[in-house]
Amino acid sequence: MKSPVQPLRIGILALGWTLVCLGSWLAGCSIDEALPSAWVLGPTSKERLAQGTQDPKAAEQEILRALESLFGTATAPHWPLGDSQPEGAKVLAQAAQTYREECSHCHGLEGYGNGPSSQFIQPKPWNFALGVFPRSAPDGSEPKLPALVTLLENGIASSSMPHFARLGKPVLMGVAGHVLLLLKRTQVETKLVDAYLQGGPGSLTPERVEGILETWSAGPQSLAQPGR
Amino acid sequence: MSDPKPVSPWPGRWALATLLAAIPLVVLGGLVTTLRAGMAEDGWLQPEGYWLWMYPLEKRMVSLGRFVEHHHREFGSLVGLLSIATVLATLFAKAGARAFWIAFLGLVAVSGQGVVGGLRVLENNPRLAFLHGVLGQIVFGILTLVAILLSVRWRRSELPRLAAPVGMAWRAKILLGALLIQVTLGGWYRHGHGHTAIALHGFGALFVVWWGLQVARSLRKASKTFETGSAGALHLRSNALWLTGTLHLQWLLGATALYALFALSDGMSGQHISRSEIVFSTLHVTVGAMLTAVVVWTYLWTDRLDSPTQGS
Repeated sequence: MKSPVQPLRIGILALGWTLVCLGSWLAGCSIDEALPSAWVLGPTSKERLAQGTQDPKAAEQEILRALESLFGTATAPHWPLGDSQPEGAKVLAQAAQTYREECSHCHGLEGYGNGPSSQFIQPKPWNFALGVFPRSAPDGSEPKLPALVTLLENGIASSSMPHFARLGKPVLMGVAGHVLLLLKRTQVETKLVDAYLQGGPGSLTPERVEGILETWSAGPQSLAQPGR
Repeated sequence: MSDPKPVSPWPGRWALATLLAAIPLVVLGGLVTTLRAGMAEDGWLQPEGYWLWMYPLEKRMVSLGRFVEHHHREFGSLVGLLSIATVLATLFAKAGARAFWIAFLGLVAVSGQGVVGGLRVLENNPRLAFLHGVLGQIVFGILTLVAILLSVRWRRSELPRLAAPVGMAWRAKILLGALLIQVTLGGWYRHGHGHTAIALHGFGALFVVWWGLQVARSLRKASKTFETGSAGALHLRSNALWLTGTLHLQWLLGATALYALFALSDGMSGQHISRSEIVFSTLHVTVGAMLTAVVVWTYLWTDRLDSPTQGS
């Protein structure tokens, strides 16, 4: 019995299809399709709001709005009072994208160390909200960009924190800058929760949020200019 | 038809042992991807300075991610050793140059796969992880091929060929090609988490299941050309049964894994990995490897039985 279709022709078509799929994936066409893209509040903040307010959902929304006005979104972040030039915004967005692809599955999108893979590794991924970085700033001070870049280049021996040398120094500087942005964001989040619990719904006016920012340390802002 | 020379069973036995050892390797590999634990262990051949097999128990047990990743590597080395044993068995059993090169093909495939896996770890490269995942299924298919071609039944040509071709062989070839595409799409989804990949994988599954059932039907039809209860009839019916069973099990597991992903985990964003997703995704990968093995088995035997003038 002769084949009604030509297996060779089908084989070539199948191979072509596979190559197209493979090529498009290697070109990164779909890499961003399903990455997490919305910042939420940390577990501690959620717990405090659940205990201290009558409508935790509304409280969360108000705090997230205030945070977004200061730090932007997970896909288009910015520093409060920071560089608003399109070029700077692009650099920050690229760094955020790299963080989402490479880091968020362990450290979490917001940096709370609670990404989906965190439950399967030990020691646990670092929680940026703690504000201390024993590996890159062992004296308890805020981490500096060069120390974070070195850590990302080398990883941490005997742990599940791998090296990211393949990304190159400019990209790693961006990622380290994004880590510092997340560190600041988590700190400001805690202050906004405090303010909300004191003032109640509607208390996070732009003036109040600006007042909270007065406690801002200018130091890390100047550090976190990725790619520069 | 039958070979007058005695055929040593040892090359085939070692090849079968290699294939069986590759099953837990595939299970653990699937788990590694689901848990995203490929980098859970520092270093490759000498994690944290220890020789792979001497890695302390307490360090293996420190977390689920490290446990799975470490034992995936150990099973990988075991499969490598068994592949070497298979090559040596062809030499000691004087199985001939053809058997040697077939076993050597298995060793090259396993070694290559190990090197890709090692480079993936050393370079922390997710694209190599994708390649490693796709090659894993293909290498499992190659190990199946080696086990069949070195088996006594194959080397003695024990089964009679069909009197006239019934179209099994070309159907099986297409099924094998389609399955390889499915494996690539599955790997693309698992490592890229893209909507496009999962959609194509889903449509591809419809074709593979439908076409696979056509192949199974042609196997049953061909079995009727043999005398009832004969070795040829039993072989083809058994092949059809395995093919039908793994196909149905695989689409069922795929659908369940999809349900677990969207209903019990956190969808494609991967922000939460549910236990159901871990179990069903890993089972889907494992049965995918078994399906690859069954299709390779189908392809090889149909190519021989259904091609009276060009049998392998």
